[in-house]
Amino acid sequence: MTCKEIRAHLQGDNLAAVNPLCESAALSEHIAKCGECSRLVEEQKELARCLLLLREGTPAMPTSLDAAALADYRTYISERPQSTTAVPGVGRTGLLGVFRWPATAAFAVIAVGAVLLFISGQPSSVDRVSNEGRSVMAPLPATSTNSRPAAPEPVRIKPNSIARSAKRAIPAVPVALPENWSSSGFQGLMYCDQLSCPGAMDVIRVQLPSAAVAFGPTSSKASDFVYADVLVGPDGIARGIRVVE
Amino acid sequence: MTDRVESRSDAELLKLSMAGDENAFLLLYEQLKAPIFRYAFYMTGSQTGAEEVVQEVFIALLKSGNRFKPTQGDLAGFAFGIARNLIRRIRKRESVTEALPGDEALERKSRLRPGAEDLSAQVIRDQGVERVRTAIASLPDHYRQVIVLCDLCELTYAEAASRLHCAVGTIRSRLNRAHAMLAQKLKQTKKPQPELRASGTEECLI
Repeated sequence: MTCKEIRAHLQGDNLAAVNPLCESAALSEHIAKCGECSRLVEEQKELARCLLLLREGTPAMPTSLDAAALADYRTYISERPQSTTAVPGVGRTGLLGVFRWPATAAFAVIAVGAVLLFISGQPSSVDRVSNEGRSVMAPLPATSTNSRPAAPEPVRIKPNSIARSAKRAIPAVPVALPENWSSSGFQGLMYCDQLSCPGAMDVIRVQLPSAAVAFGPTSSKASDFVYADVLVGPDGIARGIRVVE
Repeated sequence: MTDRVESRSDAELLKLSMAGDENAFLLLYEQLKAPIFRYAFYMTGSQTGAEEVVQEVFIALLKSGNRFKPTQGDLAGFAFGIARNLIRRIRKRESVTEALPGDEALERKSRLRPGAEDLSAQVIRDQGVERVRTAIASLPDHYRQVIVLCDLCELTYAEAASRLHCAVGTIRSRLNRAHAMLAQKLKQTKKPQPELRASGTEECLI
């Protein structure tokens, strides 16, 4: 046996293999001559002996530990949340799972309906306005844009939802009005003053029963209609009115 | 019922235990308690600590048993992983609050059984055990783990590799290095034995 063989056997092998190795005649013969291998084998034997001592010194598991573990188990089982003991799919989590998909589908349908309603909100607004105000929306005459004074692009204040719905309901052309807009033929409405409307306003042409326009030119027939321009502020509130014809 | 439980795998026993089957829990406990206790004892160096680890491991198994996947290893490996984390936590905690030094000494004294064997031999043996234990405790963690698993818990290389989630070759090389370091430490700490007088009385120093 050579030094290399002995080292290869000792290195990376379990210490349990040391003792059989030590008993072999070839090794005894070698270590009698080689001091280095003798020292190495003695070191390994000492280590194996120490570890054996340590293994033998392991205390036995106390029986009280078994009882304590069992008591812990019973406590855990009795105190655990009910959801973990329930049959899957029937407990609280299970019910949520059962109703999740129908609820999601219903929500999706409602959301799609709301979006469609929002997009196609124009007819419904017109109907509402015509029913409440008993007015009929008249399309703007082709010349109406020409009849308006050419004005620069107005500075628009962020419109609120009312103004947006008003613009959707009827075709409106934003105009920039002169400082004193009442001088352009518009009659201010009594609840509105100039100061309360700092931004650009929209002009909406509507067709009204002549009887409804008390301040306009009187018509011979009560059933006649008149066209009027209504000034609507960015907040959706009418500021002024001008009877066109 | 017990016969049917006995034929089940560890994973199934765990499921049954979690569902409240006490027989399944007892079987699982019997299978795992000894190796976990020994591992915890050698890693913590304290019986009380080992007992605490065993109790905590089984509670943690019940609580986090859903995370166990049989495809990723056996249940013993999973339990060892829990034990390793608990031991790390205990060591961290005990580094803050050191135990009273008298406790372990008293415990050792209580284990001495005068009359059963030569008292001085037992004392010398206990000192030797303590020396080895101290030397193992001073090793870096990954070397200590392989010494404890392979030499003290007597697991095979393959089992140790599965517990530590590494290759068998890694276990071999670590073990070899750990043996060398341990032998070196033991040599350093080995005190020369005092020469005892064979007979006679103490000399008068006056």
